[in-house]
Amino acid sequence: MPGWHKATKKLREKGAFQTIGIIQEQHPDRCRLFMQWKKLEFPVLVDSFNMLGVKVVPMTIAIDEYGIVRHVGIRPGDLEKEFLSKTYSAPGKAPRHKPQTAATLRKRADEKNTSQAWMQYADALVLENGAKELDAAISAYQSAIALDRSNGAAYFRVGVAYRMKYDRYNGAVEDFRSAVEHWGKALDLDPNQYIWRRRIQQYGPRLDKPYPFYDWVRTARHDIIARGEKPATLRIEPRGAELAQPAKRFTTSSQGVAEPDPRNQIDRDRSMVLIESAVVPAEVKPGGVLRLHMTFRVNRGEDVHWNNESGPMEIWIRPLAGWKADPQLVRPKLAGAAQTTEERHAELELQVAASADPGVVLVPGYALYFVCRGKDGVCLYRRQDFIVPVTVR
Amino acid sequence: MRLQDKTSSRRFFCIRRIRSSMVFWGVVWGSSMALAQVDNAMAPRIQVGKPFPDLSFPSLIDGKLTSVSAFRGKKTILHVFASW
Repeated sequence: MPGWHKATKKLREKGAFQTIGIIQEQHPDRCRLFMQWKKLEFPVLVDSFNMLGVKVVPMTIAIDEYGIVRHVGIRPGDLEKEFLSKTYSAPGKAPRHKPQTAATLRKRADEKNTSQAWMQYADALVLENGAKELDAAISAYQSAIALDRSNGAAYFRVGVAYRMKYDRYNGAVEDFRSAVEHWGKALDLDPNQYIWRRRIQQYGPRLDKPYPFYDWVRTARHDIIARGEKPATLRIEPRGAELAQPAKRFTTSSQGVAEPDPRNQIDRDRSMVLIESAVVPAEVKPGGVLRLHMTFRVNRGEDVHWNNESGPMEIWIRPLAGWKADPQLVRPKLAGAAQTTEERHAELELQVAASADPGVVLVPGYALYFVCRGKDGVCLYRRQDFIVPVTVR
Repeated sequence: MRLQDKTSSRRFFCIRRIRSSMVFWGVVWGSSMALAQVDNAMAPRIQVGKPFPDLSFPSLIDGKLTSVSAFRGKKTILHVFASW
């Protein structure tokens, strides 16, 4: 799109047309940074829920002065001849659509009880309230799904709402898991929907990625600062899969890496750290690859802190026969201060055995970490074993 | 700028593939007709010759609900895009 914008600069500066944008991504604040970086200054509307229904981006649409679509996918070179120089006439009076409030649509959904009516109510809820009514929107989209299991858009939008909930509120990993699950069901219903597919790929394995997604953020900030400006702030910093470079084949860099506690000697932790995981995609075929997202949180109720001075945190995955892990050993970067309570993250990828049977497979692993109970209290080196359920289809 | 141009060509890959498969299977449409068909499948709610869907979305700047129809009165280029 910036290329298109640049190619039509002269015509735009003559005032021959106006430019607007509609973005199709989960995190609009990242787009704000992108616009600042590329010096794009036109008005942009946010369509994280894909209510416009487009299946690919970028898409450039020419709309005449009466609001009628004249071209979809117009090229910069055709702009003047095919659009700007043409004269369009006013269409007959079309009935203006009166937007309805969520409250009105709720009443209608209760009366009609159709998948479409619940969808419209849910859409109005997220548009009117943004992230404030996500639970109500999720339940309305679920009602739409219950009445029509082929409603792919409802599955996709529930997924967007769950991920938004995960990002905005408590970061409950089950919300992220629900997002990935629903996006997967949506994509099963329409494999040609690339906006839905991209949402999974944003968090998925490198093998499945068409591009890195957010690796430009670093360069953008650097360039903006060099211009003497302050980069737009991001609510959620991109990490892991969102920055990883795509890969053409699955390779493992873990050959010959030594297991950190092979003789199982380190004492177990049962309550100081909470470990949760999510896999992307939610279901994987035999021979397929998935990305495992792990979250580690200290138990604040017991006043537990990470100890960052004694050594690295290590996460070890023990793939089953025929499975591969990359990497098999992960060492998350530790915070600078001596004791901290931040949420720690680790991501790695797993290749399912080609001979794997369908069903839920439990992949074992463990984490080793230094934690302290109470500020200046006792610090311990502990091990916690975990199991990651992976659904093979 | 270069990076972005490169990625956008990758993004169009799926469209190109569909177009070329249509040619491959000898679909008997004029080329412009075939293009219109593909674009319509990629954006079923947006049709040439019809009003742009009267939808409102929050504005990126202040979150205010804004409809595309609020921009009527001047020829408009609408980019549907993402920062990736």
